[in-house]
Amino acid sequence: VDPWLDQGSPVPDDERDRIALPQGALELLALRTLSGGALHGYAIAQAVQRQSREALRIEEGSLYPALHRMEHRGWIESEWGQTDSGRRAKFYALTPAGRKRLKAERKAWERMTTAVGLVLRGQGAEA
Amino acid sequence: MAWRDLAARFETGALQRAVERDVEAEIEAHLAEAAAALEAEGLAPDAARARARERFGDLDQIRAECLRIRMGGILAMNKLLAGALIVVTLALLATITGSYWLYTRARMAQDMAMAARMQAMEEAAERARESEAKSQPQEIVVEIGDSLELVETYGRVRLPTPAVVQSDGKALIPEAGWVDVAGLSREQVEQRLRERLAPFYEELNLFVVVHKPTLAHECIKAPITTFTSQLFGAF
Repeated sequence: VDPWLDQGSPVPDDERDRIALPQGALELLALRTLSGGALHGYAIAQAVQRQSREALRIEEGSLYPALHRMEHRGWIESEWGQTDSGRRAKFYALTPAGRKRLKAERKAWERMTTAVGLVLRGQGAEA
Repeated sequence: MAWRDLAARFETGALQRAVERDVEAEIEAHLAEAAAALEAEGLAPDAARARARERFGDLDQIRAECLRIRMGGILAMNKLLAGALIVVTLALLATITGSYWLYTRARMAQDMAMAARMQAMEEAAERARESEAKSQPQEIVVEIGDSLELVETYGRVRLPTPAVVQSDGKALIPEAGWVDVAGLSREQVEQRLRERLAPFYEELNLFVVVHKPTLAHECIKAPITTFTSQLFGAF
């Protein structure tokens, strides 16, 4: 169990409780998901939703521009293969550059959430 | 990247169609996977497909966005490749042109050095010829109009006045008579006179001095007809 992704919200009761991803977070989550091995787009979307205990709502189609953008930047590479169900799908895998990027993005995200948390806690104390 | 793929990249139209097919296949694969998963949860095939489409989002917009990203990257790569190709071509042309220029300059310098060497050799040879010519006494040839003076060791043969070589090439020498001397060298004239005077003198030791005429005597050299024609030709 990954402690970083494991600190999610409890399982939402319905679709309305799901959180829309902030800008840039989708690429970070996709990189993190691919750090475990090559996956196709649908599997990435499912893994993110599953690991966030269904709290994060990904509009599945939006994943593909992000994947193509990251591939263009050299963070991931793709190859057509077969899924477990025997269908053809394009599998994405992390490149060494992508691993470096994931590490940097992860640190930046942690600093940002910590800072936002501090501000929010301060506002709460004032209230 | 295969060379075939690289070549195909230059064909933008074909490339765009290939990218569109790739994007379409990827989206279709996603929808098929999603629909199959929903079917497995109990949805009917049509409903599962519709739900999968719904979850996917705006299909046309996503397709266009994917195409834009892919083509943008490839076109940028094409521009980079085209730029690199131009640079390489220019560098190659510059190398060829520069090499040819250097080659022609080297050839020119080589030719100039060779010409200078040849000229130096010719000048040296000319100087050597001149030096040789100066070191050797020039042979005196008796000509019409020359005056011959005879010197004999014991003074036995003496001319009252130098014998002038007439226009027929002969000079009148006492005891020897008219002797044909024109065109002979001084030594040959001496030899001839020794032969002609041998019956009259013993152990004749004779030397000939040749006096070249001044301009006033030049006319004697020419035959009389030539002389008169030259003299009166202007009239």
